[in-house]
Amino acid sequence: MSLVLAIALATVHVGSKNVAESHLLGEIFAQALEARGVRVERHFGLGGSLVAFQALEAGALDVYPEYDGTALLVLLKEPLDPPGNAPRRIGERVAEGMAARGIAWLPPLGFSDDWVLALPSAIAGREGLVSLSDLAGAVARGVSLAGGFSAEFLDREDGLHALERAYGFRLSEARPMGEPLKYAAVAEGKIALVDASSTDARLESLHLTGLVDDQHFFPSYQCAPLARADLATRDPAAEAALISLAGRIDLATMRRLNGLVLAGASDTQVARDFLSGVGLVTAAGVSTSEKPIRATLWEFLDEKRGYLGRLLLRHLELTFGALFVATWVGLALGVLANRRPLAETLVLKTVGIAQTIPGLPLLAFLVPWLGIGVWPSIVALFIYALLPIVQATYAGLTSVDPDLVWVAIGQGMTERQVTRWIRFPLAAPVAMSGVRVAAVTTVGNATLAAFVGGGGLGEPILAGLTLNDDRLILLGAVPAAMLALAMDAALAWLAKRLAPQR
Amino acid sequence: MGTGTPAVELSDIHVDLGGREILRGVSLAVAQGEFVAIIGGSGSGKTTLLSCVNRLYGVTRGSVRVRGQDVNAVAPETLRRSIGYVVQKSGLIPHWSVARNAGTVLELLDKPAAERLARVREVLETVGLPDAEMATRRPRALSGGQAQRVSLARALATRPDVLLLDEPFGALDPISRRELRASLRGVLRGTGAATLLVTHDLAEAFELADRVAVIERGVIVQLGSPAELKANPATAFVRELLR
Repeated sequence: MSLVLAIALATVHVGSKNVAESHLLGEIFAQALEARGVRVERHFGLGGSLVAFQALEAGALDVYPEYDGTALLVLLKEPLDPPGNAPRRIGERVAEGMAARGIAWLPPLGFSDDWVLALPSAIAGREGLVSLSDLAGAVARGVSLAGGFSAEFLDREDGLHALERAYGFRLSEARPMGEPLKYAAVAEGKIALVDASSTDARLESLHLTGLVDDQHFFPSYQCAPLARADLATRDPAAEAALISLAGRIDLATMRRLNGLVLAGASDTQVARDFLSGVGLVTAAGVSTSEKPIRATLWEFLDEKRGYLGRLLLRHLELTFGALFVATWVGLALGVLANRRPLAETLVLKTVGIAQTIPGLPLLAFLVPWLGIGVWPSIVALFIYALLPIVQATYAGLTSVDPDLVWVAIGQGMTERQVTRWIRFPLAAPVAMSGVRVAAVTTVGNATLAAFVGGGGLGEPILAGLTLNDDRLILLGAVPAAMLALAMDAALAWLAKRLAPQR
Repeated sequence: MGTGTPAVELSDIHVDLGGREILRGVSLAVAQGEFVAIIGGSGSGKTTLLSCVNRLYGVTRGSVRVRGQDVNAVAPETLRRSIGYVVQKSGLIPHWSVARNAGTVLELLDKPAAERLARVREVLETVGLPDAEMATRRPRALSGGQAQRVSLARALATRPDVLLLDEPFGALDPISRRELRASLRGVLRGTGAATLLVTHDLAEAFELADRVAVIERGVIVQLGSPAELKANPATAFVRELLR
């Protein structure tokens, strides 16, 4: 709700995807804007390109960093030209395609976050591997290289399998592995080949060599601000601030900045130091990001106190908002299912099926209609909270002894009196147990709200996963778990008070 | 109501339930103050017959009159509140106290609290539960016999002139059953209400009833005083019952 109001005021909404580099670039955008007096609201860690783009189209975001290859293939869903295509052309096609949708592909930042296959330099030297064609040759010679790849690289149509076809080889082993795990495994020598981003600082720190894509299989991934076209007229200063970043970040710079974040420096600090270094903001204070030092846990918690309070408040808003509506709607549907045989199957089936939709797709699905932020989160949480409440209400009502109802009617009770005095009081403890289950799961599910910028305790969890920072994960996860326990205890107490004494 | 009008009058009633004929032309008149037992095997239609009187079942054909008035002429709740009703499983509301359960119909009739309280105390004493502490208990703290006594108190609280008893002792073990019957015989015979008792127990019927109606497969095969039935059993089933 605060989101809708804020759009009316002159605020620029800056987004980022839930990837460390995207976080950092979002922060750089935000600070560059703020340096020119623009009011900024940050929506970082959105659950992927589609969510961010839908939010942009819906007007809930004004700008976020995107890559031209992704924009072309994933957002515009246009095919790549045959391999050998000059990288410049992708950017042009994206600019054209986006313009038709009221979106502006602003001048690129100066680096391309390309996909590379990398392997330890020692192995590359030993086997004489420089390019992907060399790799194909080595595999044909019988050199066995175990690979660990991101799930995305294994699944995408233009991922590993297409690459193998293009170069004519087949790896003996290709396992899906998450980010931190993958690099740990290659450092320990358990795997020899990983997919990586050309801007990843770990290529240097782990002594990995990226193989040259000599047949130009991978598209380029030039990075640029993807912004709403109307931003230029709405807030020319904002657009100018974003354009001023053009060409300022080359591959080496991006790799260095990513390395600083990876080593534990905060996005805020790295962005500030970068911007003052290139003269886009006036330097304030001494740079600390060059030698990042991790604060102790207590310093960290103390520093995050206010932030944690805000997160907790938002988390409660999300949980109670969804739970309140779900309780009333769930009770009503449970009663309906119990009273009307026709509604029974329909209600129970529909609610049951809604429950099976996985969380992230559901959220992504809601973004075009409800934008990003609190609303899609509450709607999704509401849908998940419904099933346990409907089922428990229905079960509670169905379990009421029909003989008891028969006799009550025989004494001269009306249907309404039977419902008020017998059905509801007897079903209440069962229905209440459904509300309890819903409450506890909603507290947990509400952490997913962070994927669509809904905030809450999921925000540090997501950021922690993205930035590989345990303290951030715990900052969200521990209060969320405690909240779930407290909620369960409070509702258990309430259920005891509400239950009819028998 | 003249003395000639029966308190309950069933005229050629038929009841179809789900395509099955449960009652196939039953006629029966119960005079004010008269006690009639309906006896029959399971599935004979005896409970259905009773449930037509307070309109828990509607008749497919024929008519049911209570105090001379067709049961369909009044709202079903009004009719039911004017008829005492006791069933085999006491049907006491588990989260209500014994006293509130006994006063259910008085509450439905919006009687003032003080009047309800006094009447409930009186009627609980009538059914043999004079203990004030007992009145505050929940039904599950009662024995089976005590629960049936409360159920009877609930039916008698309004001093109804029509009383329907559907196997009131049916859920009890044979010994408590005989004891309860013996202890309540005076109460049941002394209400002055036109009483219909459904039972499958001939001894019970003979001990309590002025007349006994034997029902088989949805029709009354014999109706008479216990002495008449003993002297002249009409069917093999009645003879079997008497053995």
